Amino acid sequence: MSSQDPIRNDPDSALSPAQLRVQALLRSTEAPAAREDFRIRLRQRFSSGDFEVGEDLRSSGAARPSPAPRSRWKLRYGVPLAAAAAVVLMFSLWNPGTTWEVMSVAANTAHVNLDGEEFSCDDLSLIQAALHPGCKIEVPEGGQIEILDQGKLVLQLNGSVAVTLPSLPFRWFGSTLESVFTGRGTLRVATAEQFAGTRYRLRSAGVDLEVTGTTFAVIQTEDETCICVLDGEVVATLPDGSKRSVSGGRRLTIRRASGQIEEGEMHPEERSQLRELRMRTDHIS
Amino acid sequence: MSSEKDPTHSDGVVVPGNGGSAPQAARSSASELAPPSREELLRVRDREEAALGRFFDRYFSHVYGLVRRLLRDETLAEDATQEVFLKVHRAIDRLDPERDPAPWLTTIAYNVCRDRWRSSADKMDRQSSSIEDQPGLSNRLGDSRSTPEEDALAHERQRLVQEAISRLPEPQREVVVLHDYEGMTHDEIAQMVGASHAAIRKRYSRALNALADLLKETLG
Repeated sequence: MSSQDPIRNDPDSALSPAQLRVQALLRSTEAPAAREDFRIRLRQRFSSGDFEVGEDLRSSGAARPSPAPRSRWKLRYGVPLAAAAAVVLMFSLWNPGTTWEVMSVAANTAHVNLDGEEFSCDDLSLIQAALHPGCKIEVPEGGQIEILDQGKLVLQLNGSVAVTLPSLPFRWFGSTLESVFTGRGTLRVATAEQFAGTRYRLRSAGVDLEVTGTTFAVIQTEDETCICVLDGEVVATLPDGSKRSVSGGRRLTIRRASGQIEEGEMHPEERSQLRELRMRTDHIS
Repeated sequence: MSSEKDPTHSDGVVVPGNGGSAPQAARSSASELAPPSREELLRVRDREEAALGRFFDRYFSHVYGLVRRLLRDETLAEDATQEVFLKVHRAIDRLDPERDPAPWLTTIAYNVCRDRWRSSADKMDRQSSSIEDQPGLSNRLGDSRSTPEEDALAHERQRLVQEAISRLPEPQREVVVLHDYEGMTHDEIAQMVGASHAAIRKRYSRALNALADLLKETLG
């Protein structure tokens, strides 16, 4: 690269008058504006962090270009789909999944926060009654709580971990539980026998995890996210979109600032902690 | 911009818009506003809801404008904008509070658009049109000159310019959008898209020639 090259320093100086006129016209136009309802919906999701992968925020009822053969599409697929949706709705109404159960709270845990409201651990039934789909649970520094989520998986929240509870799945169909892990600390997860046929997605800073049956821990610090897997397999989706599989006995550490990945044996401390959790979970089944 | 100190972010992506030959008038709206303070960006990084809302307000138009110009229609642009903010939200821990986030957002938005260009759906759409297939575009733009209302004229001109840009092949379109609307120099674009400076200069020149042909009526 030469700083003496006049065209390099000012590439527009090499343009013809016709090209300069086009350039001026381009630059005189304002940026295209987005539909306001789309902007508002996306803003709400971005600020709250309540993103659903694949969700269509564009559909709003506002005028949007729609494909021409829509009416035929409705006739061919719309009626069967509506009927199928009605059947699914009936199943879900007749057969709601089980809800949540507080399994244990460490002695040094005086309270937990549910959706920002403080609940004393003196009366666990009040905490249990307040748990609901999408509820955000926060455990104070040094505290620990274990929750049996819908009879399918055990979530053990340690330290300053905050986790949102998944929504209720359909019991009779394979379903996906999804929750979000924020804060700093260790979240341990073990799947119960009833988990079979279910997927669990855990979104955390910089990495998304998906499991179909396993015991694992996610340790989130200021700089790193570490995944330790005792048994089964965890598929991690990294910030760049690539996927890594972490199998039993292994560890994956992601340094969030640099994106650097480190793989190795799982931490010995996590091995013993997860074994204990696995044993307690096996007793549920 | 604070990015003038160092042409790269910590993740190695090119930081565009740090001076050079592009005129100040060509800078995007995000570049024209002062970047958020360090304290504000720390609040964003900590995912404080109010700070995230202000961050969104500050950069939404910048992201949408860039994506809309790079992609072919509103539906694709809305999909891509949603994906950009999802990626930003997931990677917000990597936000450097010492730097203006605009170049980081530009890079994410460009990469999302590039991924969509590579998708089979967009390829099919691309094959169906070319500059030569649009003989009526410049005539329609010429007709709009007779419209009495200034606002209507400006709106129509904007629409037709956008339509003309969307007819360009992607290599030319991205150079025009990044240079004339994002204010990036040819060197910065070359680094971002992985091409030589000479190739970028040629693409830009060809793009302007193609647009001149499409828009000749309005250019007189």
